[in-house]
Amino acid sequence: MNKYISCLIVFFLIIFLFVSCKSTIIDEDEFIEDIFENINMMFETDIQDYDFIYQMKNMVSGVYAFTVSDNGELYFSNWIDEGVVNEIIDVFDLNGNIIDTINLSQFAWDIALDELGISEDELENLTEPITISLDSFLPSSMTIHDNFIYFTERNQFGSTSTRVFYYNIENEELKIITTLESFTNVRNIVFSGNFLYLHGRDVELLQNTNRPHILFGDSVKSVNLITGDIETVFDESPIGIAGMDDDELMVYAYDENEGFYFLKHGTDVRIYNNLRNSINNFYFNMFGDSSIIYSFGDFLILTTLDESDIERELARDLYFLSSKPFVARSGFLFYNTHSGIRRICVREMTLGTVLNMAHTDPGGTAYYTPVPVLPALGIQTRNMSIGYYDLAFRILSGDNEIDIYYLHSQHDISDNIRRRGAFYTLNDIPGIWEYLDAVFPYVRDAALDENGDIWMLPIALDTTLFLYNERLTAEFGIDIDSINTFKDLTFVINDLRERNIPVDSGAQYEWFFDRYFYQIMRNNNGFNRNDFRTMAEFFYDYINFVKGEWSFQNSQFLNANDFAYDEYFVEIDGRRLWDWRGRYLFTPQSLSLSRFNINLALSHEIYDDEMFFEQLKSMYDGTGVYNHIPLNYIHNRYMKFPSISGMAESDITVEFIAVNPNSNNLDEVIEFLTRLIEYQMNLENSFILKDRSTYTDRHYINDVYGILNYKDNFIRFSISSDLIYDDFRAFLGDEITLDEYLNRVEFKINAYLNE
Amino acid sequence: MKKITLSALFLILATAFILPVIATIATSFYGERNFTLQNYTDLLFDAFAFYPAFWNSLLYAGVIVIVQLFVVIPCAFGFANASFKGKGILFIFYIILMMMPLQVTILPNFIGLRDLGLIDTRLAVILPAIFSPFGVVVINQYMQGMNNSIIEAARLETNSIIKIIFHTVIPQVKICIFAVAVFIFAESWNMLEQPMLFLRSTNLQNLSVFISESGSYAGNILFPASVFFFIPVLILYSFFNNYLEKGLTFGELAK
Amino acid sequence: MRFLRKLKSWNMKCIYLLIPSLAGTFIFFVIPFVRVIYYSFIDNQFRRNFVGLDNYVQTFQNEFFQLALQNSLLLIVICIPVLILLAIIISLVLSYGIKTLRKTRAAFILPMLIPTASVAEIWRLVFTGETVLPVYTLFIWKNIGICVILLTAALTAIEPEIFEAAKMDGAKGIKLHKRISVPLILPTIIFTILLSIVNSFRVFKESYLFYGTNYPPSHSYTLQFYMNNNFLKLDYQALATSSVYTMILVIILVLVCFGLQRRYSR
Repeated sequence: MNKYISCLIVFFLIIFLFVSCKSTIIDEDEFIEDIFENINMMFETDIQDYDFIYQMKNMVSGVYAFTVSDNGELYFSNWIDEGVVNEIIDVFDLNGNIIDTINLSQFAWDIALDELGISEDELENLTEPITISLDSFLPSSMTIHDNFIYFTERNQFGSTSTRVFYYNIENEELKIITTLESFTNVRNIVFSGNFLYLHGRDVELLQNTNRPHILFGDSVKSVNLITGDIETVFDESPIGIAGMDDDELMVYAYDENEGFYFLKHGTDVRIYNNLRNSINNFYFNMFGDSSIIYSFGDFLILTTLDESDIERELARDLYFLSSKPFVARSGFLFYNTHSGIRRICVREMTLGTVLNMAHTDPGGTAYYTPVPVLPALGIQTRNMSIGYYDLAFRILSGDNEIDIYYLHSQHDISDNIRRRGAFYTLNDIPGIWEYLDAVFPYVRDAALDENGDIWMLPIALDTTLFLYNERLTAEFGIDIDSINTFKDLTFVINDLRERNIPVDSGAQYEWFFDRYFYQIMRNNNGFNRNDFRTMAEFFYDYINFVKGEWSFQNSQFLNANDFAYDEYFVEIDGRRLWDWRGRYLFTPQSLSLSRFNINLALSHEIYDDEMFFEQLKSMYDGTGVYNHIPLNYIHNRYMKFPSISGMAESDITVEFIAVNPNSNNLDEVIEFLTRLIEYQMNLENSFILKDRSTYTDRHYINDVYGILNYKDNFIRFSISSDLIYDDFRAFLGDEITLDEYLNRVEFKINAYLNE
Repeated sequence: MKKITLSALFLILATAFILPVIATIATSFYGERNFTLQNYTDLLFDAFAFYPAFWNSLLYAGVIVIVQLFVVIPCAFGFANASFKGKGILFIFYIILMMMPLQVTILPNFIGLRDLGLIDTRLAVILPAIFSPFGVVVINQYMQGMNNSIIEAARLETNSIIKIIFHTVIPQVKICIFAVAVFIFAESWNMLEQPMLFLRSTNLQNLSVFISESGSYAGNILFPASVFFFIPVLILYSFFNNYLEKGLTFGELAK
Repeated sequence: MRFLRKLKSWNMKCIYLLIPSLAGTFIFFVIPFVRVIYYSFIDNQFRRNFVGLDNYVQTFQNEFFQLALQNSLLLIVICIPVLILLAIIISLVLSYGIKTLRKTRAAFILPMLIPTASVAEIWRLVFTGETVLPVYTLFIWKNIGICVILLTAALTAIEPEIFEAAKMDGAKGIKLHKRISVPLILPTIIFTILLSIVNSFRVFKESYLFYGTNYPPSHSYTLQFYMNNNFLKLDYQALATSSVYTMILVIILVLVCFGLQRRYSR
């Protein structure tokens, strides 16, 4: 018996040893070290760490496209929110200071006129109404050459054409170079010789292939900057392109049988890349000096173009990196992180203090935790996403790794930090008392603890708004003023349903549950049996999402938040053509998301049906090319979202920064907060400061301010609805009775509050 | 007759106990409604973190057991044979320390280790476990029943206390020591909170942590990982088992 | 004289043997222990104001602490006797029973080696959370292993001559064991009881994974949940004081057990 066992053991051990040797785990820090090692080897430098993170202000989502000029200036594009959403390009110098912001949205009107071929004067003398699309053209790929920024726009949903623009930095002019038809998702744009080369999705190619994979269906097109001619330059599964020093184009492509290879445009010579890899989603960028760093999926590969080197597999095998495209230029390596660009200095080494900013995601049913995004203030912050238990542990153990916390008033731990005094008091930060006076009074109250000390710095507010179309709702006989509670809303919705007007009940049931719970918890005052009973009965009868009475319809075309919309279609040649976006009657919208969607909110109103019909017809002119639905915002209004529980005030939540009292970098933190406060105070448009908007002509902005200004608003630091979510579901699904449910909830809430 | 029914009952009991284990093994082969090795391939070929975790577990458990025995056996012997004021109180103190629930001690432990600069090193997990009072208390227990005459005899022969322990004491309590060793091994093998909180790097984590995070890997690897989890200890125990069997020949006489 | 000196040095040598263990235990157990006591006397981790016994009073009066304590004690009072009895029977059978039965040893040892995560899954398929039964069975199931190991080890230490003597007196079968084996390993039994009590305070992970929440039904709300939740609420004082209370309780039990042990050992 013993013999068999020992043989078995030895056998297993051998197998294990064998396989273990083949596997490695490299975490991101190790990976960065490896990059440095390779870069140092290639460039004979001695860098130890990344030296910078550039961050955007008021960012709505991650960095979109970026490029670096020859003198090391970084340009990157995104939407930002300053009351309305604009597309911009920020420009940073070598030291991380922002030197310019190019607002692209200001050109929307001119571009629109340009495309219609009308001049301003002609506009004055029009006899018939026309529709003017104020498009958003957010750069999705950018390059810069000789004071010109060349970029392609991010494709609007459903659009299969892409416009190519140039922006003249000196004259501050934006012009369209050309429009590429049947070409989307431009990944990379390269200036080489007198050509612009673009790598993107070729719609025609795509339609001819039955491979669903991203590798197939791409092509590289060139635009002759002098003649304007467009040509397809390469269409055999290109993966990336780069401009070479001799004004040529280098393509990296994939051959199904042979693998990955490099090809210089105009030649036939292929240099194959013998690396172990799997086909996955990838991005890629090359830079001069015959070196390539490219990533695909989570892997990053560093290699050179030199024939011999490739065969030698200079590239280290597989690395894990959760980043996307990057660029190497003028001695720096830039790559994209969630909230900004990391720069690695290849030629010289500079380091500064980096503040560790922790944010946590407690998970949960309905809450969306944004990754903290802060403006570029000259002090770098590094985001750390820390789990709930870990954060509690760190706080209790007096951890000094984290410098600041970026939290949300809806997180349980926020309230605990305040109550237990786990913060560094901010009373002495320059300008903070003025800032607190400048924000809404209830925000100020939330920032002070019971001793009157400032425990956090409020950054942004969020609440749920109710967007409705004045004209349409009147047309459909809906009395908006009568909708005060959610119950009122459900009656309206049911009424619409009976009249066969399409209503989507929305998939965010958990969100309703969460909001209701939040509202009746009344600042943690305890369990009120009646409130919970009412809530349970209401959901059971009207929004029983466990029993599937409310369901999600038409998800692919509509915003998940939709409530009611007016379906619109035309009949052309016997075909029914739908306006897939419909016209909103009303829909809920989060304040923070609404910044992003404000262009969407501005849409869906037309002057009359004739025009709409024409517009719709032109949308379906056979090539499947879509244009924008015309915009007119005058009928869109905002209202406080109907109280789900019957409470009068809106539930407003706040994102804030608190400081770890045990941080080692308190001086830098104070400096950082001072700059942040100054930045906030100088915002031209802000939803956290009282009376701070330059768009007072926009009535919907005034609506939002009205809601935020409501005298009885206050910010609650609440317990999470996850506490009772499972029990709630059990009740809705008839697994337990109402009384049983209430007993459980009573126990849990009392336990949480009184343990 | 009675014997048979009693034996049958006992077998049923044993089956009841082993049922969850069998369920674990069975579920590990279960996927898509039939027998499949998919879970195992997911684990062995795709979840790369498994191997370092496995070796780490082995390393921690092995080192902890071996070093702890070296620390604990002399200590227990000392408790059994030395006499000094307050010995009883000291021993009770050991037991009290043993009692402290992990949730409470883990935070001060962390602070202590951090002050020593041991966080994120293997020692953070190994050192506290080595000095766990459990071993001392248990082995002391067994040493109480030792035959002192042999020790006396040995003392006359040599002055080296180590030799005495080695030659006279250990043989007597061999089985008990081995039992404790197995238990300590199992405990160290099962260690979860300490590696999670004291070790920050993934490559230092052990198998328990890996299993607790198995949800974040592709495929259903919880059960195959659990199977691999208890195999090594099972193997270790089977050695002990055979050893124990040999030492039980006397037991036959008791029938 | 020489004999005395030898005695003295023998004693000293024995004491020297204690040093490594004492040193390590001091650093890694005593100091944290003292820290915990310190934390129980301050208001919170950050302001560090001394508040005397306020925390103790608060915890004692807290209804949820009382509930948790009650549930934990209930677990001990019900499960431990069952566990020990079962362990004794199993150990006896494994040590003296027929060969086939002895081979089932592994069945009882394995439970303690299965990782909690997978066990919780399986338990959830079998049990619902209406009663405390799942937690109790889980506790017994998991802890039988160590008890069996310790008890069987103790049984092997019984000198066979005693059995010979008893047999000659005419005792056999169950009687033999009841009269001889069990009393002989009584110290170990008492120790096993103690150990199980300690382990009962560790039943947290299992319960937590089974119920999937920090707030289980009130019948399963034990001290560990109380402590864990307060930890998440950054209230370390509740942990510190409740663990001190637990310890006092356990000290009393330990002293009782020790007293019993002294009475029964020879």
